[in-house]
Amino acid sequence: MKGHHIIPPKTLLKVFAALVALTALTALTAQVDIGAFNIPLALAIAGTKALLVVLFFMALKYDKPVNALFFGLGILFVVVFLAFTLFDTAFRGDLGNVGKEAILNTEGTGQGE
Amino acid sequence: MTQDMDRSEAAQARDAEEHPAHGDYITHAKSIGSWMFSLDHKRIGILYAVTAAIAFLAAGVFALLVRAELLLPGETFLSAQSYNQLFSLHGIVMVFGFIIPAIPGFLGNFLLPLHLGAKDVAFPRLNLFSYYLYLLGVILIVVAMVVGSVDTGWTFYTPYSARTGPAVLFLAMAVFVAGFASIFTGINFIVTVHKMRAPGMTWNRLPLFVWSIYSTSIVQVLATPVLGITVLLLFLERLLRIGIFDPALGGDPILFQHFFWFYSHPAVYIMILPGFGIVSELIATFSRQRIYGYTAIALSSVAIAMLGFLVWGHHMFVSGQSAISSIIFSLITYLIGIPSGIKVFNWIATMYKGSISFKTPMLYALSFLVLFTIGGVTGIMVGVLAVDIHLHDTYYVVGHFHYVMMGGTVIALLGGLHYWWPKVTGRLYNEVCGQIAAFLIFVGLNLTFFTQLVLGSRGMPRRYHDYLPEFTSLHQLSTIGSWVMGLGLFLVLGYLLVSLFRGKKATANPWGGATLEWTHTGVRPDPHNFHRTPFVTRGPYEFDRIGASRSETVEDHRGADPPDVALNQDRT
Repeated sequence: MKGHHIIPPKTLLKVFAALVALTALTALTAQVDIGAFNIPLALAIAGTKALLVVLFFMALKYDKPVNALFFGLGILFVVVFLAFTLFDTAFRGDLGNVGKEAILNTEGTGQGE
Repeated sequence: MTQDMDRSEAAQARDAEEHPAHGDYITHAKSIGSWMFSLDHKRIGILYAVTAAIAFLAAGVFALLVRAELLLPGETFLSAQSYNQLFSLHGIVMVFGFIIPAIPGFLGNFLLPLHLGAKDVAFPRLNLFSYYLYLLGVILIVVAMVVGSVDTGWTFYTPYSARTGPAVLFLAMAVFVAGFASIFTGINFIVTVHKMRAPGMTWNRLPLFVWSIYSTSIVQVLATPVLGITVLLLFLERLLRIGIFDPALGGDPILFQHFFWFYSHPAVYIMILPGFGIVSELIATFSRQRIYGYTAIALSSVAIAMLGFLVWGHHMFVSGQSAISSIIFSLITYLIGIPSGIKVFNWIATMYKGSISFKTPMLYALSFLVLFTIGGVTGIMVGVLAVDIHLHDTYYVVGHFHYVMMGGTVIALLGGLHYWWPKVTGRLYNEVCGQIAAFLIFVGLNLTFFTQLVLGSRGMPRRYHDYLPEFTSLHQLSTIGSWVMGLGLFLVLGYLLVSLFRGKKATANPWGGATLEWTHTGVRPDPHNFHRTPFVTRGPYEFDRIGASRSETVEDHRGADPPDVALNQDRT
């Protein structure tokens, strides 16, 4: 493949309309409380918008697959970084063979300070 | 084969006659400006080499001083505070000023386009910019550490770094700048490998050095930005009082270690992977054998680069991170042993039934096999959760990573330096001196660091200015070892300087290497590397076919050029 792929203005406008619609959707869903799904939903909409920008405005859809591979690799490593750090912060203090009380109940011993 | 080589050299000579006005990459322009603002990858490589060598010399002298202080128990000539500053200087200058940039900056720059059959790297201006960012970073690091008297060690852990004052921020900024040099070099090399390969230079004809530099570049591009993010977060915390790492503000100090090691563990692979590449070249050339398991060695570099991202938590087993985290990181750490083992066994298999010649570069390659194996195996040992509780923050860890950094990277770099010295300078060094120095360095290194493994397993903590009397004899052995190693290294410096000015003139291919820099360029390469774009028809280790590819022989070279279709093929 030589040179740049020229994306027709019609496609760009359609993507723009989709982005505006998704923004409106974000604002709408923010008014409704769906409990634990609040954040995943907001992230899903934001992720879709980012994907549209990357595919069409940044033209990754029309590039060689190797560019998508590198882009995906970058995203993968952000996920790895966050996920593995959460393995720590989400389970900090869980020692398996020691009950939580044994760790927390150290008042007066001077160890918990 | 000799006849083939002669024909190849005859082709070079003929080419040189045809282009008498050119001069090679050193003689074609001589002003200082032509060096300092050169866009030629070979000259930029040499700029890196000189800067990194100065950093290595300085950091090496700091190490000798640290070891000298430890010769006797109690305070001898350094106060505890100066001792802390000195080992911090040693670590930071060695890591950021020397080991990370040395091989990619010097040999990577010099060789990558030559290995690919290209005229230069993909972005020569970016390449020069990277060098100046690196230089600026090193200068800032030294200024920050000397003026601000930083004594945090190279890891900048809180709470040390929180108490050290604003100089730490300045230092972090300097590391940030040097980090960008690393990112730009990585991008440059990745694009170069993808887009600048000569016709016929398919992925499975790339020299293994290129594979290792390619893997290194991926790590540089993916990991180094996290270092930048860490520094920005530090700034946000200090200036705007947003709690990120400081518990007083609601932050999490262990989070700093996550950020730090997410970069710094892959950085270990930035240091060692190019060393693997060099060793592959050395073992193939000096055994005169096709490399055994080419694909396995090439892909194990990529595997190490990828797995290297998933093990950073093994530095944090005793930091208070969650147990589940420690178990996962420990498990993945064991996996790293597999691709490393694949490499070592393939190198040994390459030597099997080869005609091995024990020239200086090969001595370094053999030293590497022994030393890196010790470094790797001790690494698996500290990756075991229960064992690490005992060994963490002892001299065992110091011994382990010096076996990897010094016994691995530095030894490989020394081997590569000797191997490509004739190509870089056009001169030969004194072989006997080279062999003596290699021996001294090998003995000194083991004496220094094996005793540290013993010291650590007996409970000697690292970073201490003083020690209990029972450790005296082992510390003294270690210090004596550092002198032997220092002697060997100064000997290298001495005879290489002599060679530079008075060395015997080299030929274009003194070792009988089969990669393009040996077969397709003159004694020293031209400013634009090749007179004609090479047309590659064989692999990098087919020693029996040197001179057999079309543009390597006089007849073919002067005959028809490769078809345009082949020359203009699209490369991914």
